[in-house]
Order: sequence, then C-alpha cells, then structure tokens
Amino acid sequence: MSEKNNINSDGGAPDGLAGKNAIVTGGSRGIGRAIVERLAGSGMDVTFTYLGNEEAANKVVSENPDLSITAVKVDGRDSEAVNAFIESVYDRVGTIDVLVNNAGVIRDNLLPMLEDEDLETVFKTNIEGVFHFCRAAVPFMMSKRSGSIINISSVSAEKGGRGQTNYSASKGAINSFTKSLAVEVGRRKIRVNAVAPGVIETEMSKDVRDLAGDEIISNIVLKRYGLPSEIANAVWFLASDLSAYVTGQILSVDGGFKM
Amino acid sequence: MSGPLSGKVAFISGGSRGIGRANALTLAGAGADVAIPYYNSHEEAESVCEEIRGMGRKSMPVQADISNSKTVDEALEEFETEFDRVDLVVSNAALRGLKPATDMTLKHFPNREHLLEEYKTRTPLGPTLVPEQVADAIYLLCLPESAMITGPTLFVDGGYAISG
Repeated sequence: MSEKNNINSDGGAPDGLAGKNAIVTGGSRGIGRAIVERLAGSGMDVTFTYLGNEEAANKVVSENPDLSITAVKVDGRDSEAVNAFIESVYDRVGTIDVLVNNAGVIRDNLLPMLEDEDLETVFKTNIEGVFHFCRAAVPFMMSKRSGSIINISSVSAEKGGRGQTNYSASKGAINSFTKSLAVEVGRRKIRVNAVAPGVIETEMSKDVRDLAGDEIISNIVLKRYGLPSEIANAVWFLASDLSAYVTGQILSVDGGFKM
Repeated sequence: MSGPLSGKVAFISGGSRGIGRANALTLAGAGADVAIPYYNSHEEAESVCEEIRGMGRKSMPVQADISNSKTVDEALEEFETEFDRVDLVVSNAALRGLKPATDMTLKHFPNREHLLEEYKTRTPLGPTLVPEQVADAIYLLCLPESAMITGPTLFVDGGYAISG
C-alpha cells in the first residue's frame, strides 16, 4: 500500500518493487519481453525462461545492460525441470516475490483438423506449465507470507473464436485456476490475478491479424491493437503494492472487445 | 518535479474525503492538477486542495450537487476559470448517508453482525481495505499506459466476490 505524497523514482505512486525478485516465463519475445523490461525497469531482479529462441533471449539481456535480467532455458511442460529451476533461482536471489506465467503457444485450426499434437502442445504449455511454476514457487512465497502471481490469460477465454477451441479452452482454464488459487493462498498473503490481453501487436498474433484484421478492428471499441507495453503495465500494477487488496481478478486489457 | 500524470487535469467528485481524498492526493503526487467538486464538505475540500497546492500543483474546490445537472454545469463554469481542459474524470461521490459497513447499526442492516462475520471469514486477503488501496487502482486506470483498458470492472475487494 502506498503512503500518500510518497513519490516513486519515475514520479508516480510508489510501487514497492525495487530490490524484489521476479520470475517471468516465456520472456524472450512479444508480451513476455515487455513484461521483463517493465519489471526490471522498476528495479526488480528478473529471471525469465525461454524455450526455443536462444538468440532472442540473449538479446533481451544484452540490449538492457543497465537492468538486472537473467535468461534461463526451461521447458515448462517438464515439472521436474521447473522445480529445479525455481529452486535454483531461490538459491541465487533469496526470495521469489513475483511470478508471471506468460509462456503460451497457439495452434489454431478448425476442430476436425486439430491433431492430437495441437491439443497436447497447447494444454501442456498454456495450463500445465502454469500449474508447474505455481506449485514450485508457492511454498517459497508461503514461508515469506508474501507474493504476487500473475497469469497471462486472453480475451479468447471469454469470447468465442473460430479455430480457437484448444487455445480458448486453455485460457479459460487459466481464469478458473487463478480464482481458485487466489482463494487457496489468500490467507498466506499471496495474491493471484490474471491479465487478459485482447489482440496485441506481436509475432504470435500476426497470422490472425493478417487473416481477419478488419473484422477484429471493427470489434474493438478503441479501433486499434494493443501494444506489449500496455500488457506489461497491467502486469506491473498487479505485481506491485498498488494492488495490495486485489486478488482473484481477471483484468482485461483489450481496448473494449465487443461480441 | 514531473510524474507520469504531469500536465493532466483531474476532476474528482467527492474528492474531499475518504477514497476520493486518497485518490486526489495520489494523482497530484503523480503530477496531475486536481479540481474537487464537493457537496457540503467545504472545509475538507479546501484542506485537500491546500495540501495539493503544497505539492506544487494547481487545485481548487468547486461546490456542486452532482445529482443535479444544473449545479454540475455551474461547477464546470467555475472550473473553467482555472482550467482549460479535463483529462481524467473520477466519479467517486456516493450517496450521502452511506457508511462503512462497520459503522452501520442494526437500523441500517438487520443482519449486520452476520454480514460482517461473513465478510471477515470469506475474504481471502482478510478485512483490511483502506482508501489508499482503492485510490491506487484508480491510479492505474489514469496512467497513459492503461489506454487500452476500457469497459472492465476492477474489483478491489480482497477476493470477496470470487470466493463465495
């Protein structure tokens, strides 16, 4: 909670993040990279995971020489690898204050065309991965009686979309997971929230924007796509002391999506 | 001294007390100038404005009954004598006579004891809400980077609504 008139380094309300430690999954590109840079820019030590793109991951570190950022290759689908990763971060930095579950994949197709692999990859990465990281990190937060978990959901969790049955089901699961975990760990002063982005200008959404751009824009009240930095800003708020009494919420950052 | 809301002008109804007051001070702290419509809390409104002016921002109280569009128009005319724009409108004022649940008597709520107990036991983060926590959520929505947040209701309730 902020003290009135107490000014943060950027001249805004104090967020209480400087000197704390964050883990961000899938931080090498797109929204994840923006989250890494936003939290590190607030004075946090940030460790992010990546899976496939080592070059992009190294760039996030090398292009931010003044920020405290570490990249680690981790497959979130592998629970033992996740446990080992979380323990290694804890051993290195001493606390896990913020966990952002951002890693996600998309395998859009009409239902009859979806292969088993399209289901497995999406569910294992988008929802099982979130279970793995939370299960490993929550005990460290409990012992400190403090922590904030932010899961990246999607507008697809609530609005139907052609070709998105697997993706939207995985994001709907994130919303339900978020509320249940919030109730489960609230008494230990751990907050759990989600951010639900609309269509954001990233590589991941490029195909759908190319395919149905006009239709999408016509359904967005503000008539534009979002920026990764705008998602990062919502994550920053939920990570910070400014949201000390906010838990179990799904915060939409979508420019107002109409059915 | 600059902040993320430098150059912005905020209009915060009910800004003289409670959540509105905390909100006025938070936005001023981040750089905004603040006008505070009030109904009958003239002294409190003037005191908040004085505190904000002490922070180097412009601030003025304007008397208005926000349930009456004519007096709101008059308040805006007065507002225009000091400010040439409005960027942020916070409709915070609530019906006079509303009280914190903890101050209500059996007259206000026959089941008060029961409700309070339920709130305490059901809310995951416990019954510890203070005005600054709501003010901080409003602060998020006022930031330029929140430009794509429109429509949703952000609950600041310690998880009460999702836990029943």
